Amino acid sequence: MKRNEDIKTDETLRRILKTGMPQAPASPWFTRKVLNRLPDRQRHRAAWIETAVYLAGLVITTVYGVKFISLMWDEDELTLNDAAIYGVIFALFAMLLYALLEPWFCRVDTAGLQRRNGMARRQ
Amino acid sequence: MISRIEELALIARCIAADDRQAFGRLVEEFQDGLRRFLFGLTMGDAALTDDLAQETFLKAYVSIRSFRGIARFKTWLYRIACNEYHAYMRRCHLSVEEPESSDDMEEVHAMIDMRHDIEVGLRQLSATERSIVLLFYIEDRPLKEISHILSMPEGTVRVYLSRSRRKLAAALKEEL
Repeated sequence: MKRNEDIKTDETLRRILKTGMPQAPASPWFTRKVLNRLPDRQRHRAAWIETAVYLAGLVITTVYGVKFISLMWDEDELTLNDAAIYGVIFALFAMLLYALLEPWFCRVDTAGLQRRNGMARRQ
Repeated sequence: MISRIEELALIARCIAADDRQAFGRLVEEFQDGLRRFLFGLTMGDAALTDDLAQETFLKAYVSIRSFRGIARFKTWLYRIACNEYHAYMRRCHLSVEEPESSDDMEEVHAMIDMRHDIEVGLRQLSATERSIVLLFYIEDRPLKEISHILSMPEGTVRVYLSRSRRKLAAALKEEL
């Protein structure tokens, strides 16, 4: 059980220390320094599997696309059905390519943004 | 100040996606308090404060998967900071338990400014006592949390606090 005297001393000490303690000097770049010192990103196993699936998908859609075009070439006519199938294969190919390259675009974009921000701050 | 849920969401983003922006947000949130605590602990050494604070955040990032979420992130962070400070003291062969009894104490005594009285008071405390004083009076952490941060029983913290209170009261008797 705390004595009344101790409680009073605690209150006074708290007030004195909070008002009288020197503050740590402001460090506006602190967060940036910490983030710059973080270890390199580690690619997780899931990320490798994801990339492999995208690559496999790209190979499959490319093979089917080429095969389909050569078939169309042989038949010498283009029906609405053929155009729809070709459209689906092309859309799949584009989606897989985007999914594969999107993280890389993001990294390039972020690095550019950080460079621009750094230059703006220096100016 | 971020809520507990927001704090956990940021930690989850760090763990699941190695999200550095989320970690940056945590650093922004907790750096002021942590640097203030370390500044007091290092007796006003700004360079050492920044070094220890950076090391603390780096250690926190590397071992963030071991954060169980039972205590607050801040408590966990302060625990790492205390360990870092004690490791630094050991590296420099400085005693954690013995208060400094330097010759310049007399010079400091001669100054009647309150800031210097506080410095004199804090210099009379051991590193552990100083940690407890800073956490209790400046950071307003409850005794239970302090015992968790310093990995010692609550009763021991109480004894240390009582001893520190007496020493500080003696050093600051003009202000009291």
